[in-house]
Amino acid sequence: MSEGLGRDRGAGQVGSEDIASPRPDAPCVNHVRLPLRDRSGAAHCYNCVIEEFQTAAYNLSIRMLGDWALAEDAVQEAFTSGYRAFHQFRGQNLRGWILRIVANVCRDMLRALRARPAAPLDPMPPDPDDPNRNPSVLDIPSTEESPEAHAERQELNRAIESGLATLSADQRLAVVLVDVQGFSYEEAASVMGCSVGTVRSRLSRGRGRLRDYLRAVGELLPSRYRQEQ
Amino acid sequence: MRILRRGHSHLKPETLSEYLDGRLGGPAASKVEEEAASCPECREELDSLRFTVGSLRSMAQAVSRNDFALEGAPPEYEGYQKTWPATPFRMPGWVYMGAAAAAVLVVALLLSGDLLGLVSPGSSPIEEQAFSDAAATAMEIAPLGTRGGDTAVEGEDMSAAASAPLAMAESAPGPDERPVDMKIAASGDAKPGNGPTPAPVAAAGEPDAGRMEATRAATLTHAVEAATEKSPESEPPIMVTVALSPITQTPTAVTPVAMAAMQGISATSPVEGDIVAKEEVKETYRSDPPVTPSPIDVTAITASGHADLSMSKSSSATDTGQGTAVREVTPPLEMPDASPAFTPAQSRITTTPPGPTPTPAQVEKLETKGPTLAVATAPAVAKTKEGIRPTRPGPMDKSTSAGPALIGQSPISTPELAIITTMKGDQTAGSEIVPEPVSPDSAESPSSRTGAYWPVLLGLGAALMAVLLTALVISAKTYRRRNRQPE
Repeated sequence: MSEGLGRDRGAGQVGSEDIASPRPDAPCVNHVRLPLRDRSGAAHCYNCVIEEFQTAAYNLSIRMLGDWALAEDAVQEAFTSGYRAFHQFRGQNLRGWILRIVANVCRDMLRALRARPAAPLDPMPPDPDDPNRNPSVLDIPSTEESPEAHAERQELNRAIESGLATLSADQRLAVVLVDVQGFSYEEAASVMGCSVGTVRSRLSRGRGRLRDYLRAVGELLPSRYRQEQ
Repeated sequence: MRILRRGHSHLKPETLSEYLDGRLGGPAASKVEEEAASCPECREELDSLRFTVGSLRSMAQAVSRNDFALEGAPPEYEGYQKTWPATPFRMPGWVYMGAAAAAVLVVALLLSGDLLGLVSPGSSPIEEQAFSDAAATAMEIAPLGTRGGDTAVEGEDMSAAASAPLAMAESAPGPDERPVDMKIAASGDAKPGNGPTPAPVAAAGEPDAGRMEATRAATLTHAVEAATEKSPESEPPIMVTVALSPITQTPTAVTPVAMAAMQGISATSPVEGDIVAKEEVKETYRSDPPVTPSPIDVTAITASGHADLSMSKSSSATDTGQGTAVREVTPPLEMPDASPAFTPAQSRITTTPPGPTPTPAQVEKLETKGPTLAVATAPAVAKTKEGIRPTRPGPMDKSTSAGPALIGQSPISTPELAIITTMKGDQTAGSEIVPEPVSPDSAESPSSRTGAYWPVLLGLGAALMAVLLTALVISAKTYRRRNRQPE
């Protein structure tokens, strides 16, 4: 996805000698230096920015889209768009600015998927024992739980993923940002491009609908995760 | 218990959500805890939400195996192709087809209405055709200015012509061998019996202006003569129209059928080829000394900026009953009073309904006005170009028809560039001229009638816009219906 075509130094580009990386202590050894200057004049290495926020961006996109391939495409496209628009960044809340681009790309993709739904060619679920299969959120191991607990947690996570899919895009974004990503209301509002009250309303309604969903599928959950009806 | 808790209101989900996020202050949080402790429903609600939020927060972070670091600067933006499903402004095919059909219908209606004369009440296809005929005739005879050298006295240059403009006119003897006079001098110099008078501008020591006026006079003379060459000498002439070319500013002989339409006298207007006889045209230059009653009318344009085309020195115009045509010419500010030059672009033509016959006093007044620039006219009788040719509205002959006064207008330019022409009935034919009534609508030129199209165009445009807006609304509703998210 990365397109390494050369380009002359644009308006937002700076020399590599005056870069104020988000992590000044981390040298740019694992990636190519992409010096950019934001609107306030501060210099950044864009690959450093990517390295810092790519996990959050990927988590947001995969929970918004529910598909790892689409999530990776969305993240890559968001970072590419962010590079082109970095000169518009005002130098405040870089994480919120990056995740807002990711959220917008995810919404565009969801809109496209809603208009032209695509079914996978292979409806069979991937083999869990296949080492080459694509990773999933549920595959993240925890070093503090037993295999049984891990299996139960996977089952709960599947239920939550399914419940998130039932929410609207705005409610899902609010729930993911606040509950999964740990954003504050204000930060979520900046990412979503709305007011704090709107975030509060969407979050409450999303939580309520997700709770109702988990209640509906509670019989399928392990006993420790069943909610009392 | 239920009765005792009648006034209790359960905690709102938003309040519980904020409580779980720790966004409520001390008193509000305490109130929520009290309510949850006292109300089982509120407690259950709070517990279920706490479990849901805890489950969400316990979800592990996903880590992609791919590194999203860019290997280089991405290429320039080359047009992002969004995968929009559809746009509200994307209309179905029938909308475009309907719009195209409506446009074709509008054009067809306009053309048919124009051809049938329904669009503009003041115009008719016959008049349009007459105007076209006049234009064609003008273009046929037009470049007389280029033949000005032929008109001038052989072997003489234009400066010589400027000093003796009458010599050119006199080169063509008239029927009564009277000298032909084209007044270019001021009125004081144009007294009867003075004979040829040089141009005052040239006499004032301005050879360029004098040469120009001489050239104009020469070409004007040639225009009239060239126009008369097509007419048999045995037949009386009908008319001559002299117009200035808007480009070369040279006189051009035009058969002004369009002016007939302009004055509402198209029924008796001559058509192409109806031009004056050579000998008769010579009479048109006779203004000095006072002419005897003859079928020739005189048109004078004075340097004072006023030309009264109805003033006739001949008795032939006394009982024609034709309208009075007045051409008002606004001279340039820097033009001296004695200068015969005028700016055609600053002139305009006005017409008045038929009025009384000019009195001798009026004729005398005309003669005493400023320098006369040109005179050109001839009696109008029914004739044909070659042989017998009927004229509208029906066959014409010498005894039944005669052309009333016309004001020439250059059909190839704006009316401001038109120049003198008058037309009087030929009383020698013994016929009574009964001109058609002049209507205000018919006085408009075809170019000025375009204003009548605006109401029709506005109406059709509004109808077309209404159709398009309706189609747009229908398309938007269809788009919403198709893209409505299922609940």
